[in-house]
Amino acid sequence: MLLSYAINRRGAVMAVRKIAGKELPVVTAVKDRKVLVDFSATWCGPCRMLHPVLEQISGEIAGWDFYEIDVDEAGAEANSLGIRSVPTMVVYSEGREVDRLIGFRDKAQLKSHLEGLAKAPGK
Amino acid sequence: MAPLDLNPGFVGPSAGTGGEADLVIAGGGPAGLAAGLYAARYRIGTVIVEGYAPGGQLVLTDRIENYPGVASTTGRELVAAMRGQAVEAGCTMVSSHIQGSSVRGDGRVSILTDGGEYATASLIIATGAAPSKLGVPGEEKYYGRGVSYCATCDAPFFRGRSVLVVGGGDSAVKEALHLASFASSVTLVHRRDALRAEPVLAEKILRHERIRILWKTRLLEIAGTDAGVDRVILETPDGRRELRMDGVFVYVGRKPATAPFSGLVDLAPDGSVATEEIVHTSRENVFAAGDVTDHELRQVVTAVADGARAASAAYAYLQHLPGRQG
Repeated sequence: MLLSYAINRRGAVMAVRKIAGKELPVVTAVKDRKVLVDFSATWCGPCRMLHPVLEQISGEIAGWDFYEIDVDEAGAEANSLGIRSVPTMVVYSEGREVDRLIGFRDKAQLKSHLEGLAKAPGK
Repeated sequence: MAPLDLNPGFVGPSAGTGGEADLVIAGGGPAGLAAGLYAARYRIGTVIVEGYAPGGQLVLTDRIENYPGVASTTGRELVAAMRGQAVEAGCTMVSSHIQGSSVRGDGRVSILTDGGEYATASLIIATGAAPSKLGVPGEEKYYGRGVSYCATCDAPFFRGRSVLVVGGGDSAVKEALHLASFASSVTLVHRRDALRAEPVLAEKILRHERIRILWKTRLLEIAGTDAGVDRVILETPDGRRELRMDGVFVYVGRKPATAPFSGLVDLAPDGSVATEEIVHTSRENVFAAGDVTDHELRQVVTAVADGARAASAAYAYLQHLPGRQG
């Protein structure tokens, strides 16, 4: 946990890291970085399409951490966040949810959306 | 169960740098993959631009029971097999996103993608279609919080809950049947008094004990709380009714994905690619296959048949280009 966090902080090429639901409050509380959590499921086709897109974007934009949570393994957390669809991407800034994207997005769309979020004041 | 590799040979971030091709196939669903398989066997240098959504709508389909020779399979399994076959035959798969198209001075088609530009002697448009929206209040607000266009993706969230399915075609009926294995009750609303779905599906749904059908009924509004959908307002032959409902699945047709080709070929009034002789478009070196076309029947089996015909038509076109005979 601490090790992967340190690797992420260096901001070099990172990947999408799978986490357990209970890790959510810890990974999203990080300061000065945006955090995208992809709520996903193994049985969901669009989730599998989204994964390589997130992998690519994670290596291209700085200042972001990317995580994946399997809703079947983290049912309680997904339910408490009102997740009713996969994939759902929740964007956090300093522990606070600032955006939610539902469904597959292609790379161009998603990357420019995330870049826009990073620039938006107060987010 | 080991997950199926939907993307054998997926080339990742470096995919797609543009270049020249004899044939570009836009779209990586059944129509595009079948076209690719046939084209590669014709020894046409073929690039399939599958975007970031390989497999197309088939990935979102739970069970396929009407594909000849395959008794029952999932959409994912079928499309993974098709993709593997196209790759094996020699197609180059590119995961770029198509942004636009135009005709070059030399008559070739230019396909602009986020991974570069392709100059191609011929093009097969097989970009498929995306679910249409109903346009009722609450639909957008509760998307992902009870409103869904993909039962295959989201049905497990509605275990033991009540869901509404809107539509009367094959997709609505198939997905209502899929939802019934999770939800405690499934209500299908259809604006007509008979289903459009194929009779074998209609018979299944009509005798399903946990699915009820409200005929001549329209969904007027989806309502809820911050937690998500909790009720729907319907217009029935007996007037307005409000029903408690946890989820709404919309299957009211599909919108052809033709935006990048609108200036390249003629489109039908519904936005699909207008075709003649099944796969020919208004431009001699551009062909179309599958759900993106104006064809009446939109099935996996018709998509792959279109793909084969489109590859054959592209081959005939390429054979007659100056300097290519023999």
